[in-house]
Amino acid sequence: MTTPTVTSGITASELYKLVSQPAPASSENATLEWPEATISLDETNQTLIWELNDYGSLPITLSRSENEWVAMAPIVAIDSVKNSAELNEVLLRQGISLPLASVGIVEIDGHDFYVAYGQLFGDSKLESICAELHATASAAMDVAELIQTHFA
Amino acid sequence: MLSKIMTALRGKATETGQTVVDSQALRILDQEIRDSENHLSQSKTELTRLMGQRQLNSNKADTLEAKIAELEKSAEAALDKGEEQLAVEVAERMVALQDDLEAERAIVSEYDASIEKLRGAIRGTDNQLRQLKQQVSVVKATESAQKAQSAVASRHSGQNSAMSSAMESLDRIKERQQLNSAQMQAADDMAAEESGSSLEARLKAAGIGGQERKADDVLARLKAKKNAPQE
Amino acid sequence: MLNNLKALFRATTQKQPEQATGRPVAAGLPMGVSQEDLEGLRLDGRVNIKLIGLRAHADALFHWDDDAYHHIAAVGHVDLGQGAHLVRFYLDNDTWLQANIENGQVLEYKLFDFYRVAHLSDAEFDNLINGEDKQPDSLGAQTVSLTSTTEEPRTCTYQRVWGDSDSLWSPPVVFEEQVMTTESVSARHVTHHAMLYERTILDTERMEYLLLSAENDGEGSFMLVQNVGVDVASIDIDAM
Repeated sequence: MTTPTVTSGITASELYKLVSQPAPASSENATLEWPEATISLDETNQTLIWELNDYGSLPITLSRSENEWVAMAPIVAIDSVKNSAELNEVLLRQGISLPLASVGIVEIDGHDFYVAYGQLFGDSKLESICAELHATASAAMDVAELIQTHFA
Repeated sequence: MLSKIMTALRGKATETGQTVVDSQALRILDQEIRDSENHLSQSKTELTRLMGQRQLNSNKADTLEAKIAELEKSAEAALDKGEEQLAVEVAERMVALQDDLEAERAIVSEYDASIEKLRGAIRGTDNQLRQLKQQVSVVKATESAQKAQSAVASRHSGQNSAMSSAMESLDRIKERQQLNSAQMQAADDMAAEESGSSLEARLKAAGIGGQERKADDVLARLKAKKNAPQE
Repeated sequence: MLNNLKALFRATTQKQPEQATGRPVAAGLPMGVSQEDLEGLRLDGRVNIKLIGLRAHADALFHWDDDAYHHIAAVGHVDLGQGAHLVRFYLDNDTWLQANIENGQVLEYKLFDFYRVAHLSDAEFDNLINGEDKQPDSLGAQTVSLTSTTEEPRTCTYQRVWGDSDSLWSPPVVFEEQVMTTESVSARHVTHHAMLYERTILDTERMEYLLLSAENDGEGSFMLVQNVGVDVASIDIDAM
């Protein structure tokens, strides 16, 4: 995707500019608490990558398509989990209690991973996007804890 | 839609690589969108046609109605003048027109029913199209996320370190917590020990106290020498 | 009254050996208007018109036989500009049915009778269309009285419809008519200097019209025609 088409809202490249530079005091961006991270832009995939300092470089990605933002954080490889069938049921039942984020299975670099993810409308406010990132990171950590305690 | 993707998944079970599945899903979605858009366009053309036809019949009904009212006045005028035969002829014309009017009204009703039904179908297709487009958007965003995550992961595997996931983060956090914990415990211990006992004395024992001892020794030796008989 | 149509026919020379069969049926109609739009009216076709209610009102000068089917011997077309057209179907009983069309839609129909025709010299014609004499009841006057051709003549007064309603005399409206007949190969041109008048038929909400038309056929014929007419609804027209 070299020329991003968005129906409304900002592109990934535009958001990257906003978060990687110090914000002017008066802007909406100034008061937002984006996660502490090394931020990079994967322009080909229209994705921002936050490698979270506080969580050992956990990579949260934020991808832009025509109408949506999708945030995603990998939790653990399926292969590392004992009794994934039971875990899956638990996640389906308990997933509702995770604010703003859901759990899914996605292939990353050739392996199936549990991931935490969130979807937002493309024209969402910066505030909402920021909240979604935090929520996705939290959800990933919560589920990792759950797995480590009961399913590892 | 989800069931179509499932079918695609099953069919590709022996193939590796989720990108294959996703592009299949996108192909299916794209085709569905094209079909829906065509269908929508045709339906809208048909709707315009039906509304045009309905209007013609409706206009004719209005003309008939007006004419019947006019003829009624003429029939009355004929009767007033005692022209019965003429009045009858006018009445006959009125009856013929009344039949036509009812026929036109029936046609208008039929068109109204068809139009309403078509409108409902158009709304349905509109909704479907909206949903399909959103699905394409989400599938594309997810694909982008996967590719970006895979790029990050392959950087790690290139460096022979473990891919970062929440599980690793959790371990690191716990490690760090334990380390912090140990450090904090040590600091606590130190603080507890040092409060209330003679630091000075211990310091002496450890360092500065040693120096005093040597001086005493010298002094003692000198005193001893002074006091000792000269030989 | 027959003179008008005869005059049209008279000048049609150049009869080709192969005739009539290949005539386009939409002859004489303006662009974008089909026979369907005109209730099926067409050159060389037939038409029946129902005006039954009119007979109940003795005050009307216009009379009509509901039962007869008439042959359409000629079709005239007037382009008024800006999408406005008049199409005139000339019937075999010296009457003509006029469709008033705007942007492809028929707004209304009027049926006229050649009530009276007077032949004029070119000098008289010029005086008339320029209102030199400003005679009462002449072309362009504010009101015109018409004396009927019936056994017991009576006089009806019509009010001018076109032009400045306040002025005593208003110049006639000028337009060109192209006329095709079943016999002619090319259209004939007639220049009209016309003025429309109307009155309400007693005890009704119906109108009766008087169209005064000074006509110049470009071939030396000048005449003043008094046309009496009424409104006709599309549903009263049965054409084939």
